[in-house]
Amino acid sequence: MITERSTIDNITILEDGQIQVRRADIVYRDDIEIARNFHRHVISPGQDTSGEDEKVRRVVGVRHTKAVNDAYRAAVLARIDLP
Amino acid sequence: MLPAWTGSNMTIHVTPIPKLVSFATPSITIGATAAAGDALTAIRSNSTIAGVALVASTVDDSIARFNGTAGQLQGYTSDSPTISDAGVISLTSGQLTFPATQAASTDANTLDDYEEGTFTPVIHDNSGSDSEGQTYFIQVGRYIKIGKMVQIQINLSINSIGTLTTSQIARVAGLPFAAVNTANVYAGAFAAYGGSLSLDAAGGNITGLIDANTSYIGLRQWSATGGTSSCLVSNVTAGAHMVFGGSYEANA
Repeated sequence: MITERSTIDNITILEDGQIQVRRADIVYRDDIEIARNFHRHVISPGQDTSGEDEKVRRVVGVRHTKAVNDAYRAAVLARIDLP
Repeated sequence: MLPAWTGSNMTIHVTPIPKLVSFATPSITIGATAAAGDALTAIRSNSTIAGVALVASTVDDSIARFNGTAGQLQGYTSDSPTISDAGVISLTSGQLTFPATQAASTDANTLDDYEEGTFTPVIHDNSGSDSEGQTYFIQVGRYIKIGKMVQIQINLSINSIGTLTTSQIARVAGLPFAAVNTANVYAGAFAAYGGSLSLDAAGGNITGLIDANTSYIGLRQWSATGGTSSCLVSNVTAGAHMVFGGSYEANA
């Protein structure tokens, strides 16, 4: 029987608070893994995380403090955009 | 030197630690051609290896490997990777696998990662929000990461831009990794296809800039003569379809 399971298998926190999230989509045949695909995205400090996995939201809740969010926001605003 | 031994079994006691090595006939052949089945077959109590057998290699420079199923240290054969006398490693067959979680190296000459996967490209304004009513016909993103280099392919067809602020720069967001955090380092994404856009100038082209420490492509548009300017959300209206390719350096 073919079954599929998705799990957040890797969360990387960058120094400035950006969080890189990897979801593994795993396909099983008779409970033996036959395929694994990765899907990634990045969560910036202050970004809406309402649609995120609970495990990710817990990490965000710890890491994305107001100070981290404010610092990231300030860094983004301070960036010199090309005209 | 051990005396000549004609018996069927030989036992060596090693002192001062009382370790026992026992060979069953004909367990070891030295200086002669080994017959099939000739093997060191028992390493007894407290050993972590129940049985070790040596199998002759048939490939020059091949790397020995342990076959846990057969309990053999093998000189491997036709599938074997090889190391030449000059230190060149050759994968004559098979693959090279990196760990699923990167063991990052800071060394400039060390390849430390390989990963393939997908991501979901989205259209954003400056707010970076997915919750402004954007809808899509097509959202396809694929990446390959080799070391710190990320190669991306994007196909994004927009049904509606929702309530995005039309006066702000349009961003194709959702990239799989944050770009390297070094000031004034930019990477480029080129547009291979554009449809139903509302660019400022006739004959204009769309392109993209990946800024340091971001995970989005800031859209730009080429004017006829003066170089690029910002590509605003108003230039990427409902129905816009863009195909991008590009590469950038990741943070790690």
